[in-house]
Amino acid sequence: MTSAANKAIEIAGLDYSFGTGETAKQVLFEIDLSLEPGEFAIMTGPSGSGKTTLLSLVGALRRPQGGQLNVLGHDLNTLESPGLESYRQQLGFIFQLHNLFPALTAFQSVQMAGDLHPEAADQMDDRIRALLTQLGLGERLDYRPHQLSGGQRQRVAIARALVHRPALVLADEPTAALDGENTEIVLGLLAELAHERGTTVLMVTQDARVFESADRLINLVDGQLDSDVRLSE
Amino acid sequence: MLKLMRAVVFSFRLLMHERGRLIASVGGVTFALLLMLLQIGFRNALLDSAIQLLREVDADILVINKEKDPFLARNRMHKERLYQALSVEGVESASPLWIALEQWKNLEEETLHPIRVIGFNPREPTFLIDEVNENVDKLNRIGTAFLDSHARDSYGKLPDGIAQVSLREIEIVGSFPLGTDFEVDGSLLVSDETFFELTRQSPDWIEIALLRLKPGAEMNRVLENLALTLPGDVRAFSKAQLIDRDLDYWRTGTPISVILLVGVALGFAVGVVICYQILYTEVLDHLAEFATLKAMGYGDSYIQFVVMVESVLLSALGFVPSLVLGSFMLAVLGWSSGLPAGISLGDALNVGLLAVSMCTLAGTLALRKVRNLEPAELF
Repeated sequence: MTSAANKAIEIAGLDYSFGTGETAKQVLFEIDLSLEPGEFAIMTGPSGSGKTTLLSLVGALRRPQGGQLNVLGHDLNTLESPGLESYRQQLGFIFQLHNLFPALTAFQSVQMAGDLHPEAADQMDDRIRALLTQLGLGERLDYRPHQLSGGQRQRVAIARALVHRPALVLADEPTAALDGENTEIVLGLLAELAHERGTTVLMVTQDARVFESADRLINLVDGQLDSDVRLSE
Repeated sequence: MLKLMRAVVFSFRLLMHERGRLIASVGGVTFALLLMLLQIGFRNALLDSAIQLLREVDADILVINKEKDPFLARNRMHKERLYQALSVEGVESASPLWIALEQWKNLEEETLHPIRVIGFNPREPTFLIDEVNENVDKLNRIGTAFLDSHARDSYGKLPDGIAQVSLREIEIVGSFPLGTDFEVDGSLLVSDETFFELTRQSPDWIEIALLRLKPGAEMNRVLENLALTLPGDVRAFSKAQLIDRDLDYWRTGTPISVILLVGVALGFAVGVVICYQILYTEVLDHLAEFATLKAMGYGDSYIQFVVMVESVLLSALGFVPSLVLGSFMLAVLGWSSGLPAGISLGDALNVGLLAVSMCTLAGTLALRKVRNLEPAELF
């Protein structure tokens, strides 16, 4: 049995509501969930079921209101700046929207993530080139977002989230804008990170094409954990 | 350090990305800085023109009527005061200056314009102007004058060198560079004898006594002795004291100087508004991207630094063209008006500091949006 301290994600009795008072709307109810380091979990469920809210809570983009939330050894109920920033630097976020600065090339966009990890600065540029090449953008390192297609922009955003080899990847519909071939490449990258480097991956998706890549399939319905299936078992 | 340099480069890239917006932004900042530069240039013109005659007199100490404040105001004193001052130990020589305001007739347009007529003894050192000292003998003949070469065009051309001043003809036999001020369009230098004939003033009442000290004489001691010796209707100042007193008068005692300072303040306020609009739009347009940076682990301080660097870059980009344009416009103004309008290095540095303050203040206001930024809004 793995101790709580060794879990990548440990959630117990987590509640969350939007708004306050009479207008408050609770979206998460008593969530209990834990993920091991190196686990690749996919979270699915109907729209409005609280998947993205749970993802943003794990990413410390929102503060828990009830229950316990421990991620990578950090108690997110009490985490404040500057610990908050250093915690976020251990994560790799992939948002539905790429949110790339129009002024930056693909290489420079990914470099923004690399700059947060100066200890690896010497090898970082090589790693950025290699990663973008792996994602099919080797010929477009100097392209700005307006010169890239939607799928290519999304792959730049994925490279930005993965280049620093995060301990935890939080991905919100990362393959929505990708074709089958590129979806395969991205899933391969995530699986490689999870299984070879011990990166925990928590991905929100409705894309059934990707389910088989995961170790676990978590289903959330109406803010409650409906099922949690270990696919590898 | 590397992260800091990368942040500066990042700010530069953000600012330079959209050329059209950049040109409009730099244009806005340039406009605000130009407003400030011109107001400062006008104020300099006011101050410099008020003391330019004072600067050019050859004197260590000036004795003037105690009511003569500012220096350009006309308040005479009896010539006896000059002899009394000359008797004070340490004073080597004293020479009188007579000043009158007369009417110059523009012979082409048949219009009258005020002109300052300055009378002096050509045999005594009076001015520090080379053009005057080299040709001073020409003024020994009665009815001759030197005309201010920096005077405004309103005096018209003199095809045969004969001018008409207060209904008397006078021959212009030379020129000297002085310039206009806010009272007259120019000055005329004449000998004392020509002055009395032209103005009908009494030789006994002089405007200023110019004193020169003996070598080794101590300025403060001579000033103290002059204060003890001279009657209470006059006062003695060192030249530097009088320049400072006059500058102080024009800086603080006149509405126009205050109005020009208000102009600078308005330019600053306009600049803050323009910069704020530019930086706020910049922040607003990249709100999702900045929120992504926060989600990646960048702190508020990094984003604030980036926006502040953008604001400093913006001020630098606006400063250079405003300095070039402002200097050019003030040069044209000086050329057309005869006023010593211009920008000193110190003024340029001050405007540079104002530019940086203006943009950083605007940047600070624009950053309120970033401070409230929640990366959770990205989901």
